[in-house]
Formats: sequence, C-alpha cells, structure tokens
Amino acid sequence: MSPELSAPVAAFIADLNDQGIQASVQGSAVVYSVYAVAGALVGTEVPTAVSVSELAGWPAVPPHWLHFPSTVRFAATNTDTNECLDGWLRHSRDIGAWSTDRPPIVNWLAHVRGVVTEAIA
Amino acid sequence: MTLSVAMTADVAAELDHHLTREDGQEDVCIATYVWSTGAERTTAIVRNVILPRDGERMVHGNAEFTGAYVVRAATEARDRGEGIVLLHSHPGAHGWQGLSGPDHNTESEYERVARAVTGMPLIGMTLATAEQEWSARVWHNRSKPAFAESVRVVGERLNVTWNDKSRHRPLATAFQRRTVAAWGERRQGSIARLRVLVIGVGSVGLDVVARLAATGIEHVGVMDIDIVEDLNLDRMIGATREDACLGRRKTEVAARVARQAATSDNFTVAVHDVSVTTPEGLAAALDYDVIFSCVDRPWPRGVVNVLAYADLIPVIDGGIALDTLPNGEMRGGTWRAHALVPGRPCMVCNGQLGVNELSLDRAGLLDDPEYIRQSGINPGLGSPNVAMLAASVSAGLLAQFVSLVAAPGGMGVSAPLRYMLAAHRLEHLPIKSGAYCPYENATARGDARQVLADDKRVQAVPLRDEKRSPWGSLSRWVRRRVPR
Repeated sequence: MSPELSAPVAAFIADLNDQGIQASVQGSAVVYSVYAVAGALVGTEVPTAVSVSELAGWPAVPPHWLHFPSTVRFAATNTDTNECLDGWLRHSRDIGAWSTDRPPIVNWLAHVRGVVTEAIA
Repeated sequence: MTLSVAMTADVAAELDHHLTREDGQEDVCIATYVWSTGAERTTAIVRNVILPRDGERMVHGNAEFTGAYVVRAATEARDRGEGIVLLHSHPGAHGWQGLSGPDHNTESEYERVARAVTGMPLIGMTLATAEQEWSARVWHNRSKPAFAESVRVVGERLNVTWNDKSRHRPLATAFQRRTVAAWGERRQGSIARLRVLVIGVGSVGLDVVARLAATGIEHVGVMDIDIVEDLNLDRMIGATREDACLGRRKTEVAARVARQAATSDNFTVAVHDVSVTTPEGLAAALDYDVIFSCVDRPWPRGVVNVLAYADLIPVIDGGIALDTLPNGEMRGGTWRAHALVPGRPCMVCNGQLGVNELSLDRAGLLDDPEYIRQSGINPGLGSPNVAMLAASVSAGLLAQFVSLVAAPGGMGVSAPLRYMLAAHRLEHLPIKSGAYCPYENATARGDARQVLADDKRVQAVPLRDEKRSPWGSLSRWVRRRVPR
C-alpha cells in the first residue's frame, strides 16, 4: 500500500484487485477498466475512474460520479470535468440496487457495468 | 476528559463465562481495546477476548496472570493496533468495585509492560459476579489509576454499571413518583444518569426531548442546525408563533421545552448548533450513551448508523411516511421504530437508509437545484406530516428506549417495527443483517470507524444563520402582518 493512500482508497483498490481488476491512482482519480458485457461497447475494455475524494466513505458510501474518457458517450447525461484526467468527463449516475448480502465491490462493478451498457457508439 | 468503557453483550458474555467460575474462585483474563474519542469523553471499547492457555494464569482462591500471558496478549493487541485490558472477578460481589492492595500492585506492575508493548495505557477491569456488574480504570502511570465513570454493555439491552463516586446517583424527586413506581428506584437511578442526545428536534425530536426530561433524565443534548419557521408550527408542539417570527433555532426551543418539562433537580440541557456530519458534531455525539435519530437527511443518518456500531452508542431511529391519493385525500401511512444495536440490523440492511441518497447528500447534490431539476428526484422535503401522527412515531421510539434501558419482562429492544395506519396493524419485521454490511462489520472499531463526517460542506449553517438575520426576522414579521 502506498503510504499516501487513505485507508478507504486503498481498500477500494484492493477490492478491485480481488475481482481481478488492476487499478491505480492517477492525479485525483482512481483509474481502472471494466469489460463491457452488453451495449455498443460490448466486448471491449472500457477505462473508467472515480474521484479519490469520493472514496472517503468507501465501502459505506460509494461514489456518485463515474469518470470516462470523452470518447465514451451517452445519449442523456449530466457531466462536468471536476477532478477528471485530461480528456475525461465525469457523469452523474445514481446508484441502483445495493445489497449488503454481497461484497460492496460487486455492487459497485454491477453499477458501473450497467452504466457502460448505456454507452452509444 | 471523562472515561467510560463499553463492550458488546457478546464480548461481556464471553468474559463473564470465563470469569464467573462454578467453584466460586476468582479468575483472570485479558482482552484488547480501542479508543472512541468524543469532545469530553473517551471510551475504551473492549474488542477481543484473549483467554489464557494452560499455565498462563494461576487460580488458587485468588488468581494471577503470568508475565508470559500478559506479553502474549500485548503482542497480539499491538499487531492489531489495540491496547490491553487486564480483567479479574470478585465472586459474589455487587456494584462498582474498588481496587484492593494486591490487585493494585498487579495492575501497576503490568502498566509498564502494556505501555511498552502496545504504546497504549493499561485498562484494568473487575467483574462483580453477583449481578454481572463491571468496573474499570485506566493507568496513565504506575502510581494511581483514573477510574471510569461507567461501563456500558450494549446489545438488545443497555446495561450500565455506574461509578457512584464520579457520577452520583440522583435521588428521585417528588415529581417522579409515578415513574419510579414503574421500574423502581434503582433503575430510575441508572436511567436518570444516561446522557441522551436527540438529533433533529422537529416534530418527533421535540416531543422526545420533553418526555426524556419529564422522565427524570439529568442530561439531555439537542442537536439541530435549523430554525423554526411558520410551516413547522403544526407539528412542533411547544414552539410558538413568536419562535417562528423571530426565526429561533430549533435547539433553543427544544432546550426551553426540556427545561419546562424536567423533573430532575439537576437537569442540564446541552445545545449543539452543529450537524453530526461535521467533525465537531460527531465528537459531541460520541459523548452520549444513547442517541435518538429524528432527522430525515440521509447523510446525518449515515453518520449515526456508523457510530451505533463502531462506537457502541445505541441509536433509536424511526420515521413516518404519509401517502395521499391523486384527489388529495389520505391513502394511508406507515411509521417505523427500530434500535440500532449490535445484534439488530442497521439502517441500510433495514431499508431505512438508501445508499444512493446517502451518496447524493454527501456529494451535496440534494441541495443542488440544477441536479434536482435534471434528475427529477424528490429530495423528500416538504413531505406531508400531521402532528397527531408524529406522536405515534415518538411513542414508538420512546418504547424502544424503555425496552433498551429498562428491559420490561427481561426483554430488550424488538425487531424493527412498522405500523400500517389504514389497517392499524403493527408488524415485527424479520429483517436480517447483510453478511457484507460495512456498518455492522465495523462493530467496536472506535476511532477507526468509517469516516462519513466531513467539514467541507458546513455551508448549511451560515445559510441558516442568514435566514436568522435581523432582516430575515423583519421580513417574516412583515409577512405575517400583511394581508394576503
């Protein structure tokens, strides 16, 4: 664990690692990628990120904003560039079902993958 | 700084099982602890029991630790970032226990070992086995310990052993005769000493505050950042038109109502004009023995959901939802009451705190008109409510409180309760805790709790202060007098 990482950020990265996903801190975001299981990007690895500041409550409070490169587009979305890497946007996305019967990171990845399926070509 | 010790009922039962011997002899064992640090009280939270292996303690009427046992336990504790507690029993004894010469010497000798290995002071505890009453002290140096004011055992019941020397047992007043008749002087003497915080002193919270004070509780805290407005007056019983006209703080009104209702000769009310989502508000909340959560916003509810488990402060929570038909008539309503204690489900598991809403509130989006417009969400403000039904919520919360502290029939708090108004049906909800619940899985973590408090978004207070400015008061005064 890098000494400058807060415990929640380190926990989020470790939780992703447990799911076989490598993540790293770049600037003020934790960057990783997910495999698109449906939608226009199906079959590709889609880069995504969350703000480090939004991970302060992990795993009790998951982030609200999802970061994607600007090439990942959605038909309807609310975006800004706060705490984003160059060329990225963050998208406002409500979290859906969140069960305490499964690991928080599984809930999180289901949410991200669900959003990715809505991306347009 | 006041010292208290807390542990879950499960930990207390494990310790009691070892320390209370069938042969009537004294016994010893070691546990670990972490700190939970409030503004004026520090609590040592007993976490893990480390029972002795063969040969690690000697029982011969009295009992002794071996140095090897203390060093092993201290090393285990250090590896977890925890301190150690040396415990021994006083078979057949009652009440808070002092420290005999031999016991003083034992703890004094191991004080340096504990500090050297763990970097934390030694805690000593004694179990008076007749009624499972605990006493505790912390050793900041070798010469003399500082005694705690209480030991709290938290589960479906809250059992507190009080140190009468540091927190005097109040005498019941003449005003409390009917109350004492309900559960006896001894119970009254314990309940009255609890420090109880009410977060959110609107319709439900204000009623709860008045009834706590009338019951004889000596110290009540009220926490809210809002002011009284005209639209509150049909539910805040005790608030006046003048309070709304002048934009008085809800806490100011609650303190006044509490003082008027108090039956204790030594009643005090602490006013906290902060949100529990700030570090200052969280520290204040950690000074209390029980918290009533009478607040709607997801973020503060999330914070108290954390400390109910991490800091072993029972939280009594509930709420009301009224439904209307399209024609404006009443469809029905439900209200809920539940206690957040180890062994009972947290607000998230109980479906009373949505992770999405918590995320939005913490990110400030529930106060962002643009986000609310775009998302089309209803942030829950301005929901219908009726004073006559709000009383049912406070009754539900207070009944859970009585079960927690007085255990009628030996029973503690119930499963989460839901009352359906239209059918007048009370349901005991068979809700289970999730195996991955981050709140309940962080039970007894103390200061290593999940950090949900944040000082970045305290602008709500100045905004409300603005509403309270002389111009705001004047404007409200004019509004009330100009015919419309």
